[in-house]
Amino acid sequence: MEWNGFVFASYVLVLGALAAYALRLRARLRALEREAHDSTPPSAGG
Amino acid sequence: MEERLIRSARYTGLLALAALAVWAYLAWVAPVEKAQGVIQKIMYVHVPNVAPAYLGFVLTAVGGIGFLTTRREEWDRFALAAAEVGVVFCSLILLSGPLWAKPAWGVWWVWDLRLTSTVVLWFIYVAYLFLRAFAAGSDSARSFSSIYGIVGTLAIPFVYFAVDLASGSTLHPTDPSRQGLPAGIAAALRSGMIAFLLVFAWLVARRLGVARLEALIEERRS
Repeated sequence: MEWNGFVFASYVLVLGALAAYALRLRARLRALEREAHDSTPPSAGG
Repeated sequence: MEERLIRSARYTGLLALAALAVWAYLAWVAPVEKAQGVIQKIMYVHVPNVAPAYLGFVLTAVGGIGFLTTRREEWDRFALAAAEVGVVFCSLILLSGPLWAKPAWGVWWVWDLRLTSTVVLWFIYVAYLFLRAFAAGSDSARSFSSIYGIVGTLAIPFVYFAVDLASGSTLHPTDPSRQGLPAGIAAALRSGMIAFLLVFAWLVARRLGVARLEALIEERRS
């Protein structure tokens, strides 16, 4: 396929943005899971 | 419902990855369109963002209706998750479009009806997210956000039919599904739409997981 900077930029932009958003959600989920675990009351923690 | 949706991320993520691989292959092997040349391949990464953006905003309204009728917070969290992911896809429509417009039209942007109405739609839901961020917590804020999210969907048909409404005075091409496209090009576009909808479902499930944990932690603090 013929090289074109606009085509390349569009795919990098869209796929990169989706990947970045997914990674951000993953990091936030991990942090919240740790926080939820730490905030579990001793009686409920088992 | 919420628990099932959050758990669905396990398999929607895998399905989305498989669908993205098929889409990438079909976009690569699709024939180069004669009139536009290789820049037409930008359509395969621009057009598939549209359905997830609209779906995200419609599901925001569904979540709003669910909250207003049941007063259950899980509906409100669902509305928020759908709106945020919808805004991500709507932003990608607005960013990838100019990358095609510049080589095709010679300009990055024109203020025609389709482009302008898409910007307005984006602003409506960015405002919704700001509203959620600054007025979080109270029941009245949730009710207001629900109504706002329901009313916001009225803009979607206007954006979708903007090209028809402009009756020939817009530069934006018509909906590809209404054009008679060669098989290779249609397959790349359809596979992109399926793959991006699966990515959308996966991201909404993940965002819902974040919202539920935030609510759980908030509940323990209070």
